[in-house]
Amino acid sequence: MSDWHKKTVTQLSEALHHGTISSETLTQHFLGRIAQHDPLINSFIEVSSDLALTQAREADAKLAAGTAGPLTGVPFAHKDIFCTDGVRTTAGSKMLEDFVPPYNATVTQKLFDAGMVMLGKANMDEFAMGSSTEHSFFGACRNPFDTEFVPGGSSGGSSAAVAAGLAPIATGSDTGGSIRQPASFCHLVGIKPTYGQVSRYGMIAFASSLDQGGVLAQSVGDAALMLEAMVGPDPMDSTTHQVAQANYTSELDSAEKPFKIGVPKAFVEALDDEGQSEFHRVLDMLQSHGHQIDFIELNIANIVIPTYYVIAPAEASSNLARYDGVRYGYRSPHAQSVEEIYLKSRSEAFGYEVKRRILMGTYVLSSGYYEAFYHQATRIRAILRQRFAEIFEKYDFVATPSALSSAFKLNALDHDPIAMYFSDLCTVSVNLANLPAISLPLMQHKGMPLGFQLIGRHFDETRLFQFSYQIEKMAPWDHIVSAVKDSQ
Amino acid sequence: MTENNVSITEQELQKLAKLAKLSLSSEDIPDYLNSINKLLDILGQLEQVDVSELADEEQSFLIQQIIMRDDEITCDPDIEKIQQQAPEITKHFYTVPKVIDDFQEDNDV
Repeated sequence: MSDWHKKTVTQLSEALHHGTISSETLTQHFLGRIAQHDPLINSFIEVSSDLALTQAREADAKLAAGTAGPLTGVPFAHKDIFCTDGVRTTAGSKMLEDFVPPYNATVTQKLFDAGMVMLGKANMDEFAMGSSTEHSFFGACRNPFDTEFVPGGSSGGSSAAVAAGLAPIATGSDTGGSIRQPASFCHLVGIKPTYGQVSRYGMIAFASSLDQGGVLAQSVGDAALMLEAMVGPDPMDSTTHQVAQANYTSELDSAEKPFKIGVPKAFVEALDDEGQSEFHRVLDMLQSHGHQIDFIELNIANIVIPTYYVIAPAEASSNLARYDGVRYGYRSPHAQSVEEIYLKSRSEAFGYEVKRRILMGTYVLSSGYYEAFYHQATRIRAILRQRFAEIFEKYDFVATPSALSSAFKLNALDHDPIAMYFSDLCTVSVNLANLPAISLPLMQHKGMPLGFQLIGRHFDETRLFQFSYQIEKMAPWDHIVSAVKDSQ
Repeated sequence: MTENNVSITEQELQKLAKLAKLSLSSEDIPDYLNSINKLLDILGQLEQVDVSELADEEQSFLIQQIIMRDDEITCDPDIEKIQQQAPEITKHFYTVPKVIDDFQEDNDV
């Protein structure tokens, strides 16, 4: 049996270009693995076999004609938050159970233009609201390292699919940690770029000032390669940054002088003993390679979660007002009036967590509370940005754990939404400050993977990738492979 | 729980639900109340944060200029394809139950 599912995208790209394997055969290999393993893992909401095989044949033609790029013919899992023309896009919600977009998201179009092959749409928490991928209308997704555990979320279908070897790489989206935390839980590289790098056009909105598309990959090189194809200004998203074409991969190996890394003490102290010892092991390794580590004060731990849980639900309540049962999406069959169409469609089709966040958002935006909650949160957000700016005057990167513990068991936090919210403690400040950050699979905790997070300056993805690539060479991480991926 | 914490009553929750166009089932209400009040207790901490260091112009979180584009028609929408997603259409119109009676009722609220 072949072990193509154990190869990185970079290796697959080489094999495709050398003609060692065709894209069609490769695609069939992954579709076969999905059919075999996904009934257990549940990482896909929809498998788009026909489209994938068509795209693979087109890729093979380009490879034969010599017009192929580095991603041509490479299969991927696409988070079900990105609209795909003609392929059902649900955002994990009953509201969009039968929604077939009439257009492609910019990210979708760019990846298709790069010649990539979409295997299917990856499972996620409903409207990306969650940290475990248990809150999907299409059922909970499982962690391939131990199927009793969650894969993280909200991009848990993406992380589980890659960790299980059901796709070599995947897209994700990150509003408060939804790429980096599942990458942490599934032993992957996960990058959330600077807000404005990746177009949000056609990416179903959760919290528009925080949402950003990104990548979950097996290696730094893979993540750099795919993100390179996704970024860029887009006339359809006025918040995209007008930057020149990114060159992450060609500059990946450019050696730089030792870096200065600031480590906020509060985040390290929040880890348990095992976590601290693992985290210090990584810091020691970086120091032994000549990098400077300083422990710094960044006492934001107690304000980032409340700030995030004002801003994100406020924007969500506004964004999700569009689902009214009239133009698209679910309409209740029990409605007798227009008012009932709104009420019953929304009440029947939104899940519990989504409703809770809409209610919270409605509260913090309502008359009498707007100033105390929403406006105050936006001010704190501005202060947070200033704190990071001050730190980045002295340091190249900020390092923290990606999460305070490894994956938790399914249903473990079901009745404690606050505990679930605090599982994003290490990641949300990055979204609030619109910074880029990457989670690297460098640690273990309670026998499961745990990520190491590097936060960079605005639009400094190039150096973030360069440093991550150096670290990958110091500590290659492919020695831990999930049991599912190790199977034939 | 702090003494000066903010919390909502069942009546206020019902009002929020009405504003958000949601109807909550009676068995879910205790749990919504409980979890939202727990969260509000945490959000109450925000009030204590000193934000006086911020000048008004520093309060924007946007890190780049919003780019405007010309107001031009750049696509030719395929109405048929778009309306295939509608729950109910009549010719090219979205169909909903008639609204006149509801309007009267709404005025009484």
